Amino acid sequence: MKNDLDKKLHGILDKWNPDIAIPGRFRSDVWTMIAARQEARESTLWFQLSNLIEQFSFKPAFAYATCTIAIVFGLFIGFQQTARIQEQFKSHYVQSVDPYVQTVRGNS
Amino acid sequence: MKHFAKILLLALSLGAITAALVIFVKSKQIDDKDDLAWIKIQFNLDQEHLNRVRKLHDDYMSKCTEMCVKIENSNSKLRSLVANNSQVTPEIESAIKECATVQTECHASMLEYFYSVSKEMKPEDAKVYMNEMMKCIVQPASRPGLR
Repeated sequence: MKNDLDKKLHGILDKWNPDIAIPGRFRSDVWTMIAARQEARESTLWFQLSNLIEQFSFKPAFAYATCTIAIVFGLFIGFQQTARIQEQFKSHYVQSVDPYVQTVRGNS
Repeated sequence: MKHFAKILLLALSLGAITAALVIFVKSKQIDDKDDLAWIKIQFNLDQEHLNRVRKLHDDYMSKCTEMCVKIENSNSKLRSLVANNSQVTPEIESAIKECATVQTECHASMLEYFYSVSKEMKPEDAKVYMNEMMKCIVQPASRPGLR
């Protein structure tokens, strides 16, 4: 389907004959500009970095390492969170045995 | 970058699932309405010791309620004397002394309770427990409940 459309389009373009004078070096100038832009893009830090990351990401070791770090981080967050919950339970216990805290809470 | 994004997404999901699992498993072990939940988790008491601590706690709670009434009475007496006077009178002095006496009584009862609970723990746990509970008696300003 796409090939048919391409053929049709090429046919129309071949028949199209604009009456414009094209400079002699037009084609090579266009390619030079494309090459210069491509080079400028590839020389940016972001492009190099993303290229490097992309290359690394195809290595299984990278996937294992990333997942391991994420799991360790998840464990850390989980235990941090439970430590906070335990701190709340400690506070609850202290409040239950301290008559001064209970009196303050009763008055507020 | 699509491949990298997929790995990152997978890693983030794994991290989130791990964190959620830890929180879920840990919170499953806790009854959040139990006053002794902290003691149970922190000091890993077996059922026999926990039952004894619970008995001590229940006995102490009736004393604690009595102390609350005493604190409230002595405080309101002092409050009303202060409000009705413009200088320190012998009655105010006596009310201040009464508040201090109630406080001493309360601290002594709390300490007695803390000692009895600590006897149900392993010696190293008892030390940690006593250190934590001493904050209620020695440094009232840093009580977790008042923060």
